[in-house]
Amino acid sequence: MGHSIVIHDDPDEIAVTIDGEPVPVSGTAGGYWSPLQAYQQFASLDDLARAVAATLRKPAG
Amino acid sequence: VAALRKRINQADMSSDERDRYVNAVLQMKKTGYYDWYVRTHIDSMWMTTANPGTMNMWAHHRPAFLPWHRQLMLDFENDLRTADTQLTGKPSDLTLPYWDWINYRSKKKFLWWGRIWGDNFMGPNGSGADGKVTDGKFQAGPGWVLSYDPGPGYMPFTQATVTYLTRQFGQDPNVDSLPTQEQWDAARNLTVYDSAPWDRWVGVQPAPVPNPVKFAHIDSFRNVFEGWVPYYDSATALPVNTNLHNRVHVWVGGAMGPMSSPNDPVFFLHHCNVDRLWAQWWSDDPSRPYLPKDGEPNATDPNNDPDTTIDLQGHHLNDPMPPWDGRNDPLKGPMPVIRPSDVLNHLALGYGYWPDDKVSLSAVGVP
Repeated sequence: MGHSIVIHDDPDEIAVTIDGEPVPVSGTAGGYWSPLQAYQQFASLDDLARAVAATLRKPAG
Repeated sequence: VAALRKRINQADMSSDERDRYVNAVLQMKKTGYYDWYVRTHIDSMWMTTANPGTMNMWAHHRPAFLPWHRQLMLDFENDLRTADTQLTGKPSDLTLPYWDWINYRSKKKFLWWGRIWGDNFMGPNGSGADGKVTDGKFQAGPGWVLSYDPGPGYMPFTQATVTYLTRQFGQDPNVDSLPTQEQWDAARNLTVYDSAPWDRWVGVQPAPVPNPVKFAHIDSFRNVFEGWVPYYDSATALPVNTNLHNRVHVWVGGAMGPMSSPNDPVFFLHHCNVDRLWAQWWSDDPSRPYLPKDGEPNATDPNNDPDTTIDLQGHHLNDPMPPWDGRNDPLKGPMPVIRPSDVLNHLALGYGYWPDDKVSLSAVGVP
């Protein structure tokens, strides 16, 4: 069975939903920093991949 | 002794004091001195030391965050006095006021709220899609034109594409409130100034992190206070990210968000309060050492921030902090050599915070 994974990257912040449900993604390692948003840190693609993988591994229901 | 400068809460300023402060800031803008602070703040992320090419200065994410900004505030206060004298023809006793964003954080406290964001002081919140400030002394117009922004990517000194002040109070969905007393108390309880790897990852652990809560056991007052460490109110609470110093920048939003944040004059009131809170922490126990000590080796951080090696040049106790490293500045001329060790005791620098330092100031004859 397939899944719907939506990554919203505007403005400068990753918001992820899997099958319509929001998935928390936090910058735990290697998150990026930008001089345009200098006082925040953002999740990296590694963080995103970990969050998605953890969600998909959970049993349904 | 009589020359000791008394920095007060902006809420306690008289109307005349607010007018003089704003007029001096506008005068600095005219003479080009104001924009020196914007440019220097941007430059702090790329500035090299006496050994060019060996490091970025990183006046943020690193131990020198607090001493570097203390010197920036002191220089600004001195230039503010020069500007005031240019306007009045008299010696100036202007001092930087601080914005106590913990205790004057609520719109319900309208009296205090109205003073800082009044048209005759810092001006109001912005409006419209980009938060354009259209009222007050720093409103969009010829009197307050932004000269610098951090530019695309890592290119410094790109001419600003938005040349007017912007603010978007609490608009970031993750930062809709200012820091709390509880969060500051938790930071103030920490006893170690900083520790390896000396960057913005000290004390940060993968979420969810039920322990430590309330910043407990984190060996970096600097990183917690700068705002990079998630705050957990309890073992089961969701973390509050973007804290203390960082949180205020993000909460104001707009021009306060990027590395060109001194474009918003409230930057200096915010950082005056940051300096005041550091002074509180230091006063709790002046025997706590600034770290890293001289000779501390560079650290390795697997988080790549952006380099694996965290270069501590410019951060050791007795390293000169660029641009205060004897260089010849195009606007200011020869710069003095200032090290973290030179600025650890704010009272020795000739200023105190009122009423925090009331006892200390009274002891040296200041009423």
